[in-house]
Amino acid sequence: MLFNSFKFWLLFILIFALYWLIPSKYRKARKWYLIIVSYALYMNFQPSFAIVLFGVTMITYLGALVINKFDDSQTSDSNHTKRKVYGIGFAVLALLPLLTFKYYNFINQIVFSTLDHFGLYFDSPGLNWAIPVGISFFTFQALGYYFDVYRRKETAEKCLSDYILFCSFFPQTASGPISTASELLPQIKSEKKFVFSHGVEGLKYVLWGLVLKCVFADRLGLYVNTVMNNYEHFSGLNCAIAAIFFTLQIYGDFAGYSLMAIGIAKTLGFHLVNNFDRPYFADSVTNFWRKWHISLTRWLTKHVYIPLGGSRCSKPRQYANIMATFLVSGLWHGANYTFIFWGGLHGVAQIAEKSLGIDPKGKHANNKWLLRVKPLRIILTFILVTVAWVFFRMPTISDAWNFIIRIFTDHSAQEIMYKATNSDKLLTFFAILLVFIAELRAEYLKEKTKWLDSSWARWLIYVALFAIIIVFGVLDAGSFIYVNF
Amino acid sequence: MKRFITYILIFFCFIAVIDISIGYLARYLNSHAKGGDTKNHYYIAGEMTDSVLIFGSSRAIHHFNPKILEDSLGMTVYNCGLDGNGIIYNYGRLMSILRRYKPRVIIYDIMPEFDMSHDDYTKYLQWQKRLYDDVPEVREVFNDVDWTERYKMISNLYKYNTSIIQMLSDNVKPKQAVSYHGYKPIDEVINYDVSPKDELPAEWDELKLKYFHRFIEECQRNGIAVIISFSPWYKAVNSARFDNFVSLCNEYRLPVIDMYADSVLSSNPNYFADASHLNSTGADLFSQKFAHILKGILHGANIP
Repeated sequence: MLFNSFKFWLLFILIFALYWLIPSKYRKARKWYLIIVSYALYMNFQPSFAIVLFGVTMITYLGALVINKFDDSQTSDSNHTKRKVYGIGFAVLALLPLLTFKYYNFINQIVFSTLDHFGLYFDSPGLNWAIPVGISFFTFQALGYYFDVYRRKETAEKCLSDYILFCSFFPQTASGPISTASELLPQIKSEKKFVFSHGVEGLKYVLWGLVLKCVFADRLGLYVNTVMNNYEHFSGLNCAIAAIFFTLQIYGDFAGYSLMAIGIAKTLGFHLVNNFDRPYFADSVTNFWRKWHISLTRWLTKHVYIPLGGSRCSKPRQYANIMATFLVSGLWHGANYTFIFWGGLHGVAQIAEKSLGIDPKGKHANNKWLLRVKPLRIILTFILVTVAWVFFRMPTISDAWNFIIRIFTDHSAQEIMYKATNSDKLLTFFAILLVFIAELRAEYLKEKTKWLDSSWARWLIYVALFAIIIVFGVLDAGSFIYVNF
Repeated sequence: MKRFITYILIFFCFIAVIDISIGYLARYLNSHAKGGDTKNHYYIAGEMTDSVLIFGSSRAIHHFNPKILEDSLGMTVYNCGLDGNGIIYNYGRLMSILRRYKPRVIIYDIMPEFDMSHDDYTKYLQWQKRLYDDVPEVREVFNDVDWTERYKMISNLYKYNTSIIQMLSDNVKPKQAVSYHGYKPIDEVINYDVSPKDELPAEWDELKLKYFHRFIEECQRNGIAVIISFSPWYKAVNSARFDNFVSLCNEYRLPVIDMYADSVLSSNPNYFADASHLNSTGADLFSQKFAHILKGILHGANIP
């Protein structure tokens, strides 16, 4: 069940009330209650999906215990080899559902089209199964824990119920943030008492998350879908507007979800990692990835980039590592060449920044001229990211190219936001302005606008935002973009 | 926890005040609109008394010129089509009209995507929200679409969700989109190519089929003649996508005017604004041809 649905919030009142009605001394009862709620909500997408979630949970749980066993026994070469074999074996098993559900058809297509080139035609049976919601997120969370145990950075979790909740905690199952074991498991084990400030803070996150999703992302999404699904009928200018809108939409959609997940968890006494830090104010692509989907960046850095050698190696090797990490990132998002290309573009941009020394740790990072042109760099980064998002959004690479070419070659005189009503145009403009002002304030004007932190101003803002969601929001618009990953 | 709950209750008290205020404002704006869609909908629901009504989606609103139909039939005609809407909306609309008067003929232009296939039903509720309090059948539609709607509809903020801006502009400076009796002509010519394709029969969605049964039965109970129309589509090869709908028409013996793949209209790009919509030139020609066939049908059924 998704956080932007009315049904979820009706249910959440009950979930919240019952959770806090269980006395804090009955920690186990609370934990089992959260497990039941988490699985019930997850099964609401499709009951059979829960088998995959439970399967990945059990494989990584048992796998961690098995490899931990080799640590306990005496170290010997044979034990070391066994540990490695079991380690790889369980990792492959844990990855198997993800590979099967998400990548089987893609791999199938690559293999058979390659064979076709050599004149070998085979009729390839595809899978028509729906992909379990959030499979990439919970698989990575479980694998992150498992890799940490394998590298001896974590001890294997013995309590199965704690681990089940770690993998299935409902605020984050569908779209993250991807938590580490060291962040979430101790919180699951601790006794919780309701803290007023956490509850209020949680609701603030939820409120702003709903604004980002319903007022901002879904409003922009209406025009994005109109144009990008039929771009041949729109002028270059309107295609450019749609591309910018998609850049903003995907931020509102995903950051909105993350904020709601963090907020809901906070009201239940859990603290999840922040996933976004105003990424479109980044002044380089490298910096963008420190602000965008932070929990995935952290996961990929820890489990792909560093094991490949990270930055402690030769320059060419480091560049290859960056590229490999971003190709994995692209592939993680979906089984399509468009996602791989999108990842590749980000990889190329980061390599270029590193080689020019203009990344945040580069030798020219503090160059006074570069600092002076920071607004220009922010705009340039935004443009680069927007171009990359076109590949992310379009169904094929050729569609993305055609779309980009149209932006530059079609100069037909079509009204701005053609096909949108005046009311849609006004609501879109209002949504962008609202979010821009809020982001600008949080990034640069916090000190100068301290009066907005006063009690009466905050109440006014909260009430106004809630009313704005109901009056201007696109309500029950459906899924979140990242839930598909 | 007590403090937390108290704060939430205070918060919702503020929201209730805003909700009630917006409700008063919206009702005023709705009933005092000078033009635009707000005025058009208010008129259809509360003032319209025309004999022939056209129901359907954007294809209905852009394809049927009431002036031409009126000249041919000698009866007053109003185009009640609405962009992106199908039977779930049109049933509610019919029931709101039947509370006031009984039209003599209803022409229903079918768009399989909105009238037959399964999709997100909630979009069909948007314009019915204003009828919710007055028409019990509309409340039933809401309940069928989503049982939580009855709780959402307590709120005025929700009732007028995304409509306030349109209502304001229709009160201050309405965009003159309606030309005559609900008809909205398009003055553009299609500028891209479309390849003809064979289409498969659209499958029935259960809820939509249920409301079509109800729509037709209500009309027949009230002595209203229902004429089904498949209006032209650019480069349509045949009207196979309506096959399942034709079966329904046969069940109720409803006359069908099938011009979906009309040899004159469907092949000529000069009659189309885009693949699915006729422009004003095409709409006029279509309305003339349609009126001619309709006249014959109505004459045969002794409807002057």
